[in-house]
Amino acid sequence: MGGFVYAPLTPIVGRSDGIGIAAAIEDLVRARVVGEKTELVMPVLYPNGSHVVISVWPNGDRFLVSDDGGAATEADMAGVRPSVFARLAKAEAERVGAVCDTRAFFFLRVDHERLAMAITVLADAARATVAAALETLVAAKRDTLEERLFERLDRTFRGAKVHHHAEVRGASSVEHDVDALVEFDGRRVVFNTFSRNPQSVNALVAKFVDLSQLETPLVRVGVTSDKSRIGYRLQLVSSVGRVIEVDAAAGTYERAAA
Amino acid sequence: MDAVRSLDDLAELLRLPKRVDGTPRWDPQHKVKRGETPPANLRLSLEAPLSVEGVTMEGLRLRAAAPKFEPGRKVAIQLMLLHRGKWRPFTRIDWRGPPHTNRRDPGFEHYMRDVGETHVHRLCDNAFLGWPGVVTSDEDLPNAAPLEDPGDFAALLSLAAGELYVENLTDIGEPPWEASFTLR
Repeated sequence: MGGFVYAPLTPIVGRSDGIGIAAAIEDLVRARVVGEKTELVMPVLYPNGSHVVISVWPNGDRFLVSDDGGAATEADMAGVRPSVFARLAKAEAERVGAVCDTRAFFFLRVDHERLAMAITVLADAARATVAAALETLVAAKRDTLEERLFERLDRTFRGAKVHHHAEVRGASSVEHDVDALVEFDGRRVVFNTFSRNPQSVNALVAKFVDLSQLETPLVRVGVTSDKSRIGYRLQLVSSVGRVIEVDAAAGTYERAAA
Repeated sequence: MDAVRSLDDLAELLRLPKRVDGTPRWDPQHKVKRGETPPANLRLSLEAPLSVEGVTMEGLRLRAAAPKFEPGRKVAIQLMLLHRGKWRPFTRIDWRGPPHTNRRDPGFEHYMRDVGETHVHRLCDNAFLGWPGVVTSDEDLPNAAPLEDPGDFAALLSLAAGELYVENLTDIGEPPWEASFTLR
């Protein structure tokens, strides 16, 4: 196991007086030299709170900047499949002009002038990729939310037509995919699941706004697992539709559809 | 025990004295072809089923990972539960990995503190996520408590054996590390 002496992290610049804001700024980025590379602990956090660590290696007269596979490790330990991470990482790398190879992000030849920004951009790309990768675990959970919704609808609206995965045209003439459409007594009620993720809320609101502007508007019901976890965005959803919890009683479903 | 249906069930599973089944190996996470230089960030991974009183448990496993070319660094050891088709961690020890800042739970003792490079993501500290949130959330055990650096891999295994209640964890071998600090 030889070759490397494990040393404590230190602030990247010598601490001036060790008090106040100056000291906090000095602590924002900490560094350690490991062989030829310098590791920087960035003030950027992965979803679970781990700091993004970026390594800088001298590369001729330039620098190589990499996350050393740190993002892949974060996603992997959280249970994300390598193929899912690889797909997201490739897209993110392309977006910022980096390379993603063997599960690590790289800027291969960065000049001195752009080094600080390359480090920052790579740290954010690593963070964004892990956030997107973990979101896929929740997206999978949403499928089960959808399954629970179908089960409730099938049980509650026995005499009605319950369509799973329906397409509904909005006022803009855009066709929207909705989780379920229930038709009874000449009424049409759309049920669509959402999570507390802002993108999930935004997608639902956009869909419901368009459906609310039809000449004969549909009843719109947002369905989530726990309303208390949505936070202030619940107001956004409730401004364009009704909201129920997926495990609500049959009576709640009936009232939401009335 | 039966299938895990609550945080209490999961806590009970954690506390049951467990043993690693078989002789798990450290394997590279992706294949390196003969004659090819392995990438500098090549990771080694070890997975093993766990047994309780001689019965191998369904939906439970040990997972450890370490970088091949950075001896004595960035080791993670965790227990994983199979929940609705996905393997998710529910207790993890990180040794000399990235520093960790707790930012999710203001009620947590170590809230808004960097708990350093060696720390433990305990189930009890992440119970605020609820059930099944603790194994379904996109936050991956956001609360971690600091641990004193055990000093070497053998001491890490002793520590992990206690935290994870895996009696023979100290029997797993050291990762086949190679020291290499040059740019590949």
